[in-house]
Formats: sequence, C-alpha cells, structure tokens
Amino acid sequence: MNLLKNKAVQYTILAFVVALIPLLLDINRSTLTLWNMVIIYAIIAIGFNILLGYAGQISLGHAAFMGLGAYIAANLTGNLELPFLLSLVLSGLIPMVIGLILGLVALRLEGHYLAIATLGFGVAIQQVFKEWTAFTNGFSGVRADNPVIFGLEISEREHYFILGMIILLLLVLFAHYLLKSKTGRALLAMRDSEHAAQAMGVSLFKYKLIAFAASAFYAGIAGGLFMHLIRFTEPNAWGITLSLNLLAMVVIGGLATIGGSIIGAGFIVMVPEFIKDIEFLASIKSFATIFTGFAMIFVIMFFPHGIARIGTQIKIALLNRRNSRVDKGKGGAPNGRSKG
Amino acid sequence: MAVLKVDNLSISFGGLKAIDSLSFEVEEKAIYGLIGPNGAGKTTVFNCISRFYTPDEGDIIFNNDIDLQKYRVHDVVKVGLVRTFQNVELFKSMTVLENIIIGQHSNTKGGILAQGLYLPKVRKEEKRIREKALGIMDFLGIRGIEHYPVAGQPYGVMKLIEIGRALMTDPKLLLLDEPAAGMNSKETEALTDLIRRIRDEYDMTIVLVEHDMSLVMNACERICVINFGAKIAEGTPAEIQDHPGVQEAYLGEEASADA
Ligand SMILES: Nc1ncnc2c1ncn2[C@@H]1O[C@H](COP(=O)(O)OP(=O)(O)OP(=O)(O)O)[C@@H](O)[C@H]1O
Ligand SMILES: [Mg+2]
Repeated sequence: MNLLKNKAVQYTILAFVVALIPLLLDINRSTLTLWNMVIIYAIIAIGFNILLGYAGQISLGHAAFMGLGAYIAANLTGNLELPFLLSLVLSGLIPMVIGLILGLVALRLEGHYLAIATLGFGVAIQQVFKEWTAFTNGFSGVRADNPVIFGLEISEREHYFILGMIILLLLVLFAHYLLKSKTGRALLAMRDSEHAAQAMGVSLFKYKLIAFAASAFYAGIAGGLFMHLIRFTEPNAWGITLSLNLLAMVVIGGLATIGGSIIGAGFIVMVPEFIKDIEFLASIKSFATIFTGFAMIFVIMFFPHGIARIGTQIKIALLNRRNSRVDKGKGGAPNGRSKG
Repeated sequence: MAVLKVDNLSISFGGLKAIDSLSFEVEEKAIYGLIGPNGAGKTTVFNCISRFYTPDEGDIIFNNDIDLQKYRVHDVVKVGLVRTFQNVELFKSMTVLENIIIGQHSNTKGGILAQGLYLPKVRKEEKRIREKALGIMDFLGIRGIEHYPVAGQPYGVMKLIEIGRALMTDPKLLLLDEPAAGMNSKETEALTDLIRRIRDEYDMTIVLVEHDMSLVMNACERICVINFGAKIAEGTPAEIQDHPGVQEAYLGEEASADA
C-alpha cells in the first residue's frame, strides 16, 4: 500500500501499462505515430520545465536543441554508423554542452532580455541548419534508419512506443529524483528569491547552468528519438513554432510539475488531431495554432498552476473557503506543488 | 576573541556615503546590537558583511583570519556566517520544511548524477537534513506546519521560519535584520527569550539590527549606534541609554518625523 504511494512506483507502473496498450489493442499506424510524438514532446517538455518551471529561466529557442539532437542522431547512425543507443546519448550530450554556453549568456540577462536573446539563438541555429549542408543536407533534409538495438531492428510503431516509453520513464525518474533533492530545492529557491538563495549558499552561476544544460540534454534526446521515428528532417521543423509550442506545453500542463509536462505534451500533440476530425473547424486555416494560443491565455487566467494542478487548486479553494467560514484562517492550505 | 572585526568600513552609493569609516568588533558568544535611525546604514553593514555589497574601503575579518572579501556571496555561509533579511525573504512556492532544509544546501552531499539516480547516500542525506530541520522546528516551537506552504503563514511565523533556515546552516555568527519588525510586544518578548536560547543552545554569536528598544536593551550585551553610516556610540545598554548623542540622533529623527 505504502509502495503505491511512492511517486516513482506510480510512474513506473503507469509507463508499463500504457506501453503495452498498443500491443493489446488494434490501433492504426498514424495514431501510433502521434502517441510516439507525445512521448517525444513529453521528454523535451520535462527538460524545458526544469528550466522554466523550476529555475524560472525563459528560453524561446529550445527548438534548436531538439533539431540539433535530430541531426546529430542522423549523422552518427548514418555516416559514422554508431550504434543507436550510443548515438542517442550523444544526441543529448552534445546539445547539453551548447546549452551550457547558452546558459553562460543567460547569466548576464534577465526576463525580456533573456527571451530575446534565446529567440535570437533559436533563429541563428535554424539558419545554421539551412546553411551547413554537410551536416544537415539543407532543405533536401536528412534521413535515418530504423533504430537497431542489440541486433534487433525496431520497425513497428508499437515497438517504438515501448522503446520511447522506457526512455521517457528513465528520464522522468531521473528528473523526479533530481528535483526532489538538493538540485530541485536550489532551483526553486533561485526562482523564488535570488538573494535568499545566495545567502543559503546556492550559486546562481552553477544552478542556471545546470538548468540550461539539463533542458538542452532532454531536448537533444527528444530530437534523437524524433529522428528515428519520422526518419526524415529538414530545417523548417526546428523553428519558432516549435519553441512556442514548447512554452505552451509547460504553461498549459503546469509549471514545475513533471506530470504537467507530459499532459501538456499530450494536449499540444493531440488537440490539432481532434480538430482535424471536426470538419467545420478544420476548414479554418491554422485553427490549431489559434486554439493553442487561446488555451494558453485561458489556463494562465483561470488555472495558473496548469491542468496538472486543477484538482489541487480546487481543493485549496474549498479549504480556504471552509477555513474562512470556520474563521480559523490559519495555516493555509496544503502545498500545491508537492501534491501536484 | 573577536568573531567579527569590521575595520574602517566605507561604502558610497552615488554621492551618498552610506557607511563612513565604521569599525566595531563582536566578541565570541555575544549578542551584539547594531542600532540607529532609519537610513543610518544598518542593513548596508549587513550587506557588506554577507558580501552582497563590496565595500569601497575597509576590512571585514571573520573568526580571526578569514578575510570575507575573498569570498563570493554564496560562499560565506560555508565559513559559518548567515543572515536574515529585513523584509522576510522566504521561498514562497515551497513548504515550510523545504524552506528550512535549504539551509543545509552547502552541506548536503551528492552530485547531480547521484541525486538523479537517488543513490543510497542521497537518500540518507535527505533523511538526515529532514530530521535536522524538524529538530529546529521543534526548537522554534513551529512543529506541525512543516508541509504547509510558507505563503499562508502569519508574519511572525515567517520570521521564525527565516531564523530556522539560518540555523540550519550551522552558523557561528548569525546576523538578524530587524527580527522583531511586525511583532506585538508579547511576541517580541518571546523573541528576546528565543534569541538568548539560540545563543546558548546553538553556541553562536548573534548580531542584530533592531528598532524595538525593548528587544535591544534586554537581549544585547553590547550595542553599537550608528547615524549617517558613522558610529556615534558603543557600549552596554545602560551606557547607550544615557548617551546624549544617541538620544539626539533618535530625537532628531522623531522631530523630523513629526514635522
Ligand atoms: N543598493 C543601494 N543603492 C543606493 N542606495 C542605497 C543602496 N543600499 C542602501 N542605500 C542607501 O544607503 C542608506 C542606508 O540604507 P540602509 O538600508 O542600510 O539603512 P538602515 O539603517 O537599514 O535603515 P532602516 O532602519 O530603515 O532599515 C540609505 O540612504 C539607502 O538609501
Ligand atoms: Mg535596514
């Protein structure tokens, strides 16, 4: 009973149950592609949430890291013929190093300035994708093969889903433990009060870099997985639209929650598909983008803690109401984050 | 032995000289008061000691041989010096317990990978700091609220949480910036008692900035009075109360406040 209350155990059970669904049910290939995309975006969203939700640092250029991961994966498995798993790790580690460099820039900038600088970074890297044809093959794009793990080729979407789910689970658990220990506390402290965090021994230098590096690593892994799922990419995929979608994912899902990142990714990937099926809405050009924008505004206005915490938010509201009625009013309500 | 030696400290902002050749020494295990009218420069002194500001001139020596100027702001806590803030600076999205636990940040073992993999040593550390924090909450008399967010707590409790967070760093020297601000006389009395107990039971030195004279006169063994960044008097509470310059400085302030 106690074991089931453990968040890590919950994540693990959930991951295994969901991973097996495609094997049990008959789901068509294109739907499974979408499910795989949810996993991939969940990975990048978790990393981005470490940066935005925990460290309180904005970036509007994170699509670049995912793109980088994708191109690295394509080149390493294609040209260099490295094994898939090794290449995947490198497609996370190399963007991580670049993330560190971006983090160094971020140390000097705040708020709007950081948003503008990271936006510029994203645009610049996308330009590099267009021009550096030796690495990216320009607009003609690059291809990648199905992943091969220990001699086993993964060609079915069901199997890719299991692979993706295992990687997602590992990254979720890593983030979960990291964020519930020293690093997570230091990041939140830094976000809430830089002065007090420093007085408690938190180096802003170190933790801003950690946040940028971790988010770039997650983005790179997502890019690597994307590359082997879709098996083709070109520069237009890695622009501002993706960076903004990423922002929407964590804001809608819930800042500073892992579950929220996953929900947000599901929301952003699946909603356009549902809209596509509704003929009247599908006829409106870019309706999905418009809808995402409004959804974000709606969530910020009414559920500032995101979809993942709606339940807690309502509970707190009810508790506060009861407290003020009984006129105890003391103590406040249970913490939103730890329950969320 | 002097735990803290401030020697000829000066700092200016623009043309304004906020601290003007200030020197004072704090003996080990003392409760030392730093007082003065509004804007006298008390918080600025704390900011210089805790490395938020770099003084234009002067030395700040801690524990006989530690030149604080050589430390970065987040490193001073490692040598055993910690401060609280005049306007409570808590981490508002975190629980009371988490706020206090942060105090052990520099002493918490385990690298990034060890934390992400939640290795046994990290697990053990988490347990250790959690128990330590709960012990401090017991000492402060605020057990029971550990899982509540700090945001909803009454002001007086927030002040205690901030003190708890500071105690969690295992300091040798604790700088308290207006700990009694916003407290009523009963709470202030309890705080006076608490400050003494902290010094005795945690075996540390305390420097406090405070406007509440009952706290200052009851808790402090020595007091330094500054006005316009310069020292105008230093001595025991009795000596300070009888000092004509001190009364003038405060009366001057009241006269201008009345005007
Ligand atoms: N960062 C800063 N920039 C400019 N001026 C400053 C800065 N910090 C302090 N000052 C000035 O230095 C003087 C002393 O301020 P300080 O906050 O130290 O006073 P204080 O004695 O703590 O007053 P109070 O009792 O009101 O807290 C004030 O005139 C203040 O405006
Ligand atoms: Mg002050």
